[in-house]
Amino acid sequence: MTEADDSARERAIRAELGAWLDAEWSVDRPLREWRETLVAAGWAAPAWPKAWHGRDFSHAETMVVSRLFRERGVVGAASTGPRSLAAETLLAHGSDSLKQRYLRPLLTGEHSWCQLFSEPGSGSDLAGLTTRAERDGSRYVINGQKVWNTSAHHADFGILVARTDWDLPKHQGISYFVIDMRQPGVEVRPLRQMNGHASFNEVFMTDAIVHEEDRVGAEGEGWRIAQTTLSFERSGFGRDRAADALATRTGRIYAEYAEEVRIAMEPYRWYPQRAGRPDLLLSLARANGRINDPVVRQEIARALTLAEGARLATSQAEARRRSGSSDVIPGGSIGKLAASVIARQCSVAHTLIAGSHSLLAGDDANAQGLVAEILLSVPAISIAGGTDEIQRNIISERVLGLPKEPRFDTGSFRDIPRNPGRA
Amino acid sequence: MSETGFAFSAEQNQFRDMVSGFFAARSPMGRVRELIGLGLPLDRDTWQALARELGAQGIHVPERAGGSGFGAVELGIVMEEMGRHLYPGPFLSSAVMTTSALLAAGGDAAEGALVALSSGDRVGALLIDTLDDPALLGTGLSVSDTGRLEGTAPLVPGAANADLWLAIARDQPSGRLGLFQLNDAPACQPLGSLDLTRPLSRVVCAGLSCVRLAHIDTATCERLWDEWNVALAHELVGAAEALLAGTIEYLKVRVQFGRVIGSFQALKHRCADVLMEVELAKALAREAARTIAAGLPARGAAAMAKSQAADAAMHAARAAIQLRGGLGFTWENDTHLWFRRIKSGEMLFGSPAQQREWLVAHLEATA
Repeated sequence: MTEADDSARERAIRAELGAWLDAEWSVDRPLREWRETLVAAGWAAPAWPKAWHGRDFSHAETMVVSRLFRERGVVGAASTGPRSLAAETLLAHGSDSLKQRYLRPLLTGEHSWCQLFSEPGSGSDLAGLTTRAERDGSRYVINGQKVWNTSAHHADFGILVARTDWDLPKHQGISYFVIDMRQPGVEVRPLRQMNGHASFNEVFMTDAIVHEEDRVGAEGEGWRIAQTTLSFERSGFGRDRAADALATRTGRIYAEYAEEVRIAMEPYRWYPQRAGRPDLLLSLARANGRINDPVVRQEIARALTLAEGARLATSQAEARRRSGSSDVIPGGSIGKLAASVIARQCSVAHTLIAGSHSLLAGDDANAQGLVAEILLSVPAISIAGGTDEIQRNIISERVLGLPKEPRFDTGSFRDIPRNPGRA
Repeated sequence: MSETGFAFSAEQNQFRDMVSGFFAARSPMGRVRELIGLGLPLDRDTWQALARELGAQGIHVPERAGGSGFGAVELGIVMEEMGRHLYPGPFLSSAVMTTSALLAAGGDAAEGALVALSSGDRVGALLIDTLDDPALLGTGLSVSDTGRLEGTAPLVPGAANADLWLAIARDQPSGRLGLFQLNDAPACQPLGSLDLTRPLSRVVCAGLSCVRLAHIDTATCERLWDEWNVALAHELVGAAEALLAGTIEYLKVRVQFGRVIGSFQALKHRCADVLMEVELAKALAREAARTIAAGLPARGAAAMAKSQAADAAMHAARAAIQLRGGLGFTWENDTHLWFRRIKSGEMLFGSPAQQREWLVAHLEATA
């Protein structure tokens, strides 16, 4: 499309949506009822297919819709991380029956979702999972344990990978399901982390039931389908943080929305600290005078340089992609590895700045305990979403073209060495 | 700091391919080694072809002064490819240091020298008191009221090949810093140099006749340092990428314990770390070049680009030796030539630690 076509299309979308909002949008409507209207009209997820609540919009067209929503202070579809992962996977691989039953209430916020992938016995090696899904007529009986399940404590449904065949090679015996979290066989326990927060859960499944029609794809296709979920997860599925600002406005719908955001965002409160808070380094060092220490200055400069380098590397890669260059290194793993290095460097600098005050935590500490929270949260960043070591494997194999380590996990899953005590 | 990203244009990418192709054809490693063996004489054919075919020496010089009329971004492309191919000609000293000093001085008097340097007919060298800190300029070299340059430039890159001489010195009558052009060649004393492709000389000036091209102030001197550091940051990135690529090739063929050693995580993880560090350095170098080309203050951008590029390239150089095992420590293997070039790039115009100090000083001054 030419630029002229683009702006004509933008005007057309704005005109149509603007007129519709004039008629339908009001801050006095109940949130759920507003979302039903939004979904029915196809404005909740315009990038989705027309057949499934969407309008087949391009990325650029979708941006026009988000912009207008933002300008008018309109509350959009429910869009937490696990919800988005479930939606994208169901759209790509789900049967019509699955899409029919789950997509609409997912968008309206009626149902909340969680992801049931990692297990105590399989973290980096997800395909080594040992949760069992055993067929019993037209249903599956699920037994096993999952871990690191954000939002599981309030989720209505989960996306689940479990093993349906133990004789096939590990990647081939896995199937993908939607599981009803509100049943007696599912127990959710909060998992407390070293920084004191409990943002995740453990999920224990004991003879939990999944009906056949809640299987996504065929038996044994679970690993392939999980790749859709994981690649979407790695791409960041950027939550619209700008929309969170709506939660502070006054009006009935904003109050309901604020409560939704509060519940959804609670597990993520410490995430900025996990990234090291380079933004606080200079101000904290100025505040206590440590900015005049040449050693402190060195460590601050290191952190700021790395952070700025990573920011620029991302924006330049994006610009190259936009300009149609083929010279774009798949940046996800490099960016993730850089984020770990930045966070650790920030941790070093924050410790030096705080001096012995870095020994205090909580309300007794300076900066309202933020420094302590940084120090105790940074160790997570090099683990969550794929450890640094896994990222280095990905970079060295997929970008640099180095060979893989020899494998010891081929052949029937039954015969592969596993962690002690895992079926 | 820009909000939107930056990508090279098709023309810039094409220019890079031409520069890279030029060095691959005209200055392969065999030729670099040969010139080093001969004591690094100027290969005038290649130097002039570089000017004639690519306009490299005057890439950042306005067209009216004989240049190509581009800027720091294109200069960065040349420097990056030069680092990749380890080109041993006096480009940093002539086309970067001397030429940018002339550009900073401006005026008609500088124009003649710029034309001679851009065309590749002359090779410039710049006599200065220090390669470390612009604040030390004018502490030794001075020009008397009769126009005579006195003092010693202790470390001068590219002097052995030069036939056009400039100096930054204190103008004794006024006490101000000035850029001077020498009327005669000074006596150069070549020094044993760690970097075999960029050797240093000591130049003693005992009453050499010179003319003042312009007075320059402290801010201009700092700006020169920024420009030189950004050019070096590009060279360091190119050198680091070349070393990493060579190391990867080696890891793919060397076999120990019955496997290609590139399959060992201890080795491939180190390569991944180097790549990540170089990618950040590249992004910072390109943003810094763009900042300079836009005429914007570049103190912070230059300091970040240079410190990250130097640290990343030194890591690449250490890894290139380490991952080759004993082979990497031999004279015959080319790795040490890059190691030496990277070490000189790291230390010229302020070490990484000095850059970091300048960065924080800049942030404090502008807070």
